[in-house]
Amino acid sequence: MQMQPHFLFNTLHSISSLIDEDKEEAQDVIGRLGDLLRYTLDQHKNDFVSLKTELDFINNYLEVERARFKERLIVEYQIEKETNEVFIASFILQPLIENAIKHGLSKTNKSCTITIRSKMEDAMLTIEIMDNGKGSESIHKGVGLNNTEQRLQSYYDKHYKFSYGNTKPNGFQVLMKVPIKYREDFR
Amino acid sequence: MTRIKTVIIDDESLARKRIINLLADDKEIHIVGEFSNGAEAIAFLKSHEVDILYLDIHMPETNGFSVLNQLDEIRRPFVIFATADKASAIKAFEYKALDYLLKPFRKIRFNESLNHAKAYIQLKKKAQLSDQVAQLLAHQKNQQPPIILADGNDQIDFDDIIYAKADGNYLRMYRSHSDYTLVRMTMNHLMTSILPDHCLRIHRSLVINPYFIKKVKYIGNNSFEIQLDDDIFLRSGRAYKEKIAQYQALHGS
Repeated sequence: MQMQPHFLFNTLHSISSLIDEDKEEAQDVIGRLGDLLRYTLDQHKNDFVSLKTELDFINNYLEVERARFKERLIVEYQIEKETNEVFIASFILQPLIENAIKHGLSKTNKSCTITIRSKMEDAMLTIEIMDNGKGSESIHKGVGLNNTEQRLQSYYDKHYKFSYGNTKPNGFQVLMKVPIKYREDFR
Repeated sequence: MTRIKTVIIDDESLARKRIINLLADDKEIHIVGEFSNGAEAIAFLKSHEVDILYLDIHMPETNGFSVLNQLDEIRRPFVIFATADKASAIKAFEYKALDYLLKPFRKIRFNESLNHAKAYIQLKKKAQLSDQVAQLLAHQKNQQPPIILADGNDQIDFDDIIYAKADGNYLRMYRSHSDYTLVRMTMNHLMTSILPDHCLRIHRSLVINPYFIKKVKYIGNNSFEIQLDDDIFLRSGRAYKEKIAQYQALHGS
């Protein structure tokens, strides 16, 4: 995974400020940033991990972002318990979350809710990532969406679904459906 | 002590606090505004005079450059960008930014840019002051009191005046032995503003036009007798001996 430079630098700046404002929170953010860095150094792009592992990583990422955006960032998880142990490609969700922050939250002065939903549906793992931010004026496949689709194709050939678009009245939604695989499938 | 009015614009509250904390010990700095978005900041900056503006670039809806686009370049504060993104540095300087701080920045770097800004503010204040003085002087010149003639005439040709004699708040302007016009004017004003190039003071209350001098004669006791046109004879004051001797040496007589 490529950690975005602006994410790293802005986070370091927040920590710098937190040392004056709230020492304990500074330490908390440093801890989370450490976990993020460790995960990105340890995991290879083509590793498969449990959804839970990937979501823990996403949670750390979003908590670090929350230190910056405060109450403007709201995160909602709707995770079906049985999806936790399903294996997915590592870092497959992170670019989509990053998009939600970059194009949804960062473009509005209002607060923005990011919803992450997972469920079993039609014998597939369904993951939805939604935000109620600015939406996209012209949907062009950025690097994030493009890479995600290419990776899905290379792992699952034709056995996946991937769609995205603006939601009403505002916001953006990405939907991903992939075959259900467990740890045993990778032995 | 100068009062440096400072505004901070950043959509992230921790980023604003970092700057506020760094400025906290500086008694000169007065933070007059703190904004999380461009639109509110623009409204404030349009109606307040501000010296330093700390400005983030990437902000929702109105970014840092859009803020500057809305402000009159002449009245604009000195701008110090503070951003995590180095890509906009060139553009920032096209916007005449004073400095470009990359987040996270260190205190020493922050203070460098602050001192830089302070130096510019001083220069600007000096320039404004000298502008004000120049304006004031120009104003005073235009405000020179009109020459009021006591006898109701409104014109006097100073070239014709042989000598002037103080008379209370007035000067008697003599055109001949006995013909004079009373003018409300001080001796100093006559010498510095009206006839700076052709007058010679010979007494506390007498100024002559050297053009009309016929003869200068030393009569002792540090005093001269000066003969002017129309058989006018004046005696110089003792204090003016040097002046007259100088004149004599230059022009002979």
